[in-house]
Amino acid sequence: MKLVLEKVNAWIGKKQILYDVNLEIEERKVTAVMGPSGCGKTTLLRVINRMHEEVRGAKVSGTVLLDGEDVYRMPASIVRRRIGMIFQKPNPFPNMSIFENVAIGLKLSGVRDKELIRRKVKEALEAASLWDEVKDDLDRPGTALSGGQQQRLCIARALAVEPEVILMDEPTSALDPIATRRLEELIRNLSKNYTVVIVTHNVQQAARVSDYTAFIYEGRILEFNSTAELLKRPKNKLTESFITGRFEMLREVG
Amino acid sequence: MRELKDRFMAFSSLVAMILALIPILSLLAVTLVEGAWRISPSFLINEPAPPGQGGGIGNAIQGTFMMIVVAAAIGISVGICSGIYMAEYSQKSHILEIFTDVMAGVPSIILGLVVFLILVRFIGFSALAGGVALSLIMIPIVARSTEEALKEVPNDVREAAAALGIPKWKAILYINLRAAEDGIKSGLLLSTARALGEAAPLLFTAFGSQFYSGINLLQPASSMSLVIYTYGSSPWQDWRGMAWGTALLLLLITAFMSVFSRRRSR
Repeated sequence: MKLVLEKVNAWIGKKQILYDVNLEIEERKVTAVMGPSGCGKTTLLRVINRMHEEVRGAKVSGTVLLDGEDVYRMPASIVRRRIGMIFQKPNPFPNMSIFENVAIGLKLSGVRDKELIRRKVKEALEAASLWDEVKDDLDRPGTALSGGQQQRLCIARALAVEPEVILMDEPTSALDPIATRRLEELIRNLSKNYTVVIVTHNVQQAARVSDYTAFIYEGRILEFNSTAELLKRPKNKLTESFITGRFEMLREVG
Repeated sequence: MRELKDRFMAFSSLVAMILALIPILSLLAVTLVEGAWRISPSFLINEPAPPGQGGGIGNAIQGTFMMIVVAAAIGISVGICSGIYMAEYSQKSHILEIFTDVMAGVPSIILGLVVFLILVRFIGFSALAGGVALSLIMIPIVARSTEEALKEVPNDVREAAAALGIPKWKAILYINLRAAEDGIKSGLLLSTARALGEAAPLLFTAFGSQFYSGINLLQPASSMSLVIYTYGSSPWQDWRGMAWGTALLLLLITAFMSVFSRRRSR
């Protein structure tokens, strides 16, 4: 197992967001964390790479093991270099070219060799399937790209520092259907070399991209299984209603 | 009826606008008429001469330049660092903002007095003291514009940097400041333009001088603003004329800087 979460609880201020979450994430597979909005999906993701603690008043208990090592006993910057993150809204660095956006992580971690940086930038852009589109204008500002391209640029930026795990927080929610489809293909490809955890509220997306799916509701993981199994034969009633789209109705009836 | 009110509003704002433009345009016109023909190579190079014997403001231009360099070195470094602190670290930035705004509102002659008491008494009238006094004018302007520019950088950017494992101080220096670059630069240019035109804080600090002071920062020095003050209030007509020429020069420099900073901030 690449990542193991054991009895993870998380709070923001006095509000508890996650309750005793246990989760095992397999190496080089795509694991989807699915659930309705406000159920704690994003917090679960942010607990893994210690971004949760960037929020004021945030607290965590329990353990998160990366290759058997507790991430809360490592320096946060090391954890985040090993576990990259992609956000809901593409967020390339302003006033930086495409090249600089991808190179900055390397440069700021002390890599000076220009030739090496150039090579890694190219590799990262290729892995993010953006290279062919931007190879002739690497000097253009990153913010001038289309939404889908910006998100792939952010993926390249994350890949450049050579993470082992990539966390994606609803990475297609700001994209149009075509860009979404492209990004989903990319996610499938990435899982050949990386462990991917993707948060989504979209059942179809989980079905298209993931090998495993966890269904999370009100801060608790209700069900975790291979995606095919979970979607075909959900064991939990709430999971079933979410999958079949009757969830909102059910919740209203209470 | 509604349309009438609307027209009245448009008309009265136009009148107000014209009223506001009259002083600016007449200032430009008078300075141009009185000052333009005084500007010549010897005016720009020579030291001042007794009344009626020509002379120029070369030493004042040089003094202004030296003091602005000193003021900018102090004002920009202290100002940008304060702005970073207020925007990125402080939990109570509103208190610091009040202090900074009060400092920006202190009459500049008082800043000159303060520098006189804490610096001039020990090192004497000098370009250095003048530069320090001007830096006190620049600091709050630079600090606030840096703070505001940094606060406009979306939080997404900070999150993205943190998620890459970049330590906060590196992210501020290499990513946030860069994202806020335009706002900061326009603040720097505006504060420099402000310092260029100040005469009052120099009266007790740089003091003024009739000679080139070389590069010695510990000598009294003249500045363009001081020339306007002393020559403009002198009884000799050709000295008053030189004040006009200096005024025009200063006006051109500051106008150029304002326009330049505005173009940058777009």
